[in-house]
Amino acid sequence: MIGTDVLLPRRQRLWNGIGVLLVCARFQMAEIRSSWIIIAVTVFQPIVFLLITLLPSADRSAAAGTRVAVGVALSVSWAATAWGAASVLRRERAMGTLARALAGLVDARLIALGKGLGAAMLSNVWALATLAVTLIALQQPVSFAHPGALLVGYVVLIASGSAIGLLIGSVFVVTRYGAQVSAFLTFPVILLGGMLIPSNLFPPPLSWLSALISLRWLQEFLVTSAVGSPNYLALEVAVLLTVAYAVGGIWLFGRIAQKARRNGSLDLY
Amino acid sequence: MNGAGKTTLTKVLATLLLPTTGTARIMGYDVVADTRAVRLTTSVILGGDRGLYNRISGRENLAFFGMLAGVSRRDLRSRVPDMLELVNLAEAADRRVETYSKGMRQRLHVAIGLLSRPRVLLLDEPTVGLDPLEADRLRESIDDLRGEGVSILLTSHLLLDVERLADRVVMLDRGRVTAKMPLAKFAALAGYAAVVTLTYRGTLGDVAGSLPAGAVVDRHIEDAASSTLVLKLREWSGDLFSALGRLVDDVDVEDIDVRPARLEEAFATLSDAAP
Repeated sequence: MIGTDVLLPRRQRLWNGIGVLLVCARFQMAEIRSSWIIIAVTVFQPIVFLLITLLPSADRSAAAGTRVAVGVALSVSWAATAWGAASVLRRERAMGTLARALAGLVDARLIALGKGLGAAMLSNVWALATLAVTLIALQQPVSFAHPGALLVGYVVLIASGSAIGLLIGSVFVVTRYGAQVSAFLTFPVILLGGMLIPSNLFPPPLSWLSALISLRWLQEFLVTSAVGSPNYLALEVAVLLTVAYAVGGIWLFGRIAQKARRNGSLDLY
Repeated sequence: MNGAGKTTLTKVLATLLLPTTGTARIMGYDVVADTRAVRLTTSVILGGDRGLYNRISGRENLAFFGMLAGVSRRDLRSRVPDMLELVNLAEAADRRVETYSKGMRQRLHVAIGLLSRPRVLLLDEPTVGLDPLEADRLRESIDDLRGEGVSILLTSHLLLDVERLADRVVMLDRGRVTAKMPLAKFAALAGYAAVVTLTYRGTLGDVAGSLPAGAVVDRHIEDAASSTLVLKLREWSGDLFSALGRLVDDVDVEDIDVRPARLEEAFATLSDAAP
């Protein structure tokens, strides 16, 4: 009578898990594609950033354009993560759908991660499309020295956004000030990630903080992949930090879900 | 009654909340220790406006929540259209949920709850906010499930739901069970089986003296224009019928209304008796 697949072999469960992840990502994209804040962050913001950085600049070479484009792409990606992926759980709570995720047979962490992935994918694809159109309109040349490496860097960027989303989003579930925290986090991370100011100009204490932000390493990897020789060490650090964010996010989400069951502290319905 | 702990009980049984003290079991599975087994056998319908994704269609919501409930993709393909048909949402299935009425949302909640074919269904105030037709249609759907062998725990302070759907009644007061019994026994707590209201012209004379012991005069107002006699009958009997017939022989009867005792009256009796 019960149609479930809990007794399947491990390999089949892995495929099912990936399936759940992708379905959750697709649903999240459908849910937020008309959200005004995502449109503002991934369409209007990159246009404004490119215009204010490229138009006054005397250096319109491909290398300079690439550095600016990567910086803008990462800034937008982070802003979209703060407003999109990290807000997934907060939005689920507000809509009253978090309870079913917590009470279902599918691991709720997989659902949260999948939805964060969907938000990150949608945001980054839109941001890239906006960047491409704006760069063409400005007739700004850019370099693609290692397209394969750039693609890998972008995949890690999306994974990193999903993982950060889960980590921060778990905290957002227990506070009513998620939107304010999102706004507060956006620009300090952009600054510390070296997207506006080169990270080698930071004083030592800030350099340490900056080193813990995956976007800083992804910036280095993407720029070197676009204009010269890819810095794979930077990619490895970014991957390690992404894994650390994901592990931290999964742990924190589990704790918060358990706390919600114990205290009834979440506004589940 | 409000604040009795109905929704909290439902959430504990649905494994959404951990009990602060005591234990709860569903089909022998502990809701704390055997969470997965409880979730395999149980489905919960909390209803209301929330709990659905507004920007995607009803069909997509159903498929998504079915996946969360562990329904395989192959089963989803056949069951989703069946469920939409069952709750009469097939025509609106591809519309965004934000365009649905409250009743349609409630029916979608029911479809989501039934999709995994649970052995135990937890329903929290399923007809609240529905118009009478929608509420009646929902009651019929729930009644059909009982026929299919699904055990249903329905929490409601709408006694019409209880009257139509329950076999057994459990009363809660501030989180404690104050009574549990079959529906018939609960109804009998009113103290009588039926109420007869007689509207007539004329004079009845000694009503109390002409009735058998099982009938009690609740109200008797005689007026030149129209008189009313309300009797509460402990149980029906042949003697009672004959006595009622003799009673109205000499008056001009305008109307006789007979109704069974209501659950509200049983509920009031039980509440009054509670410490």
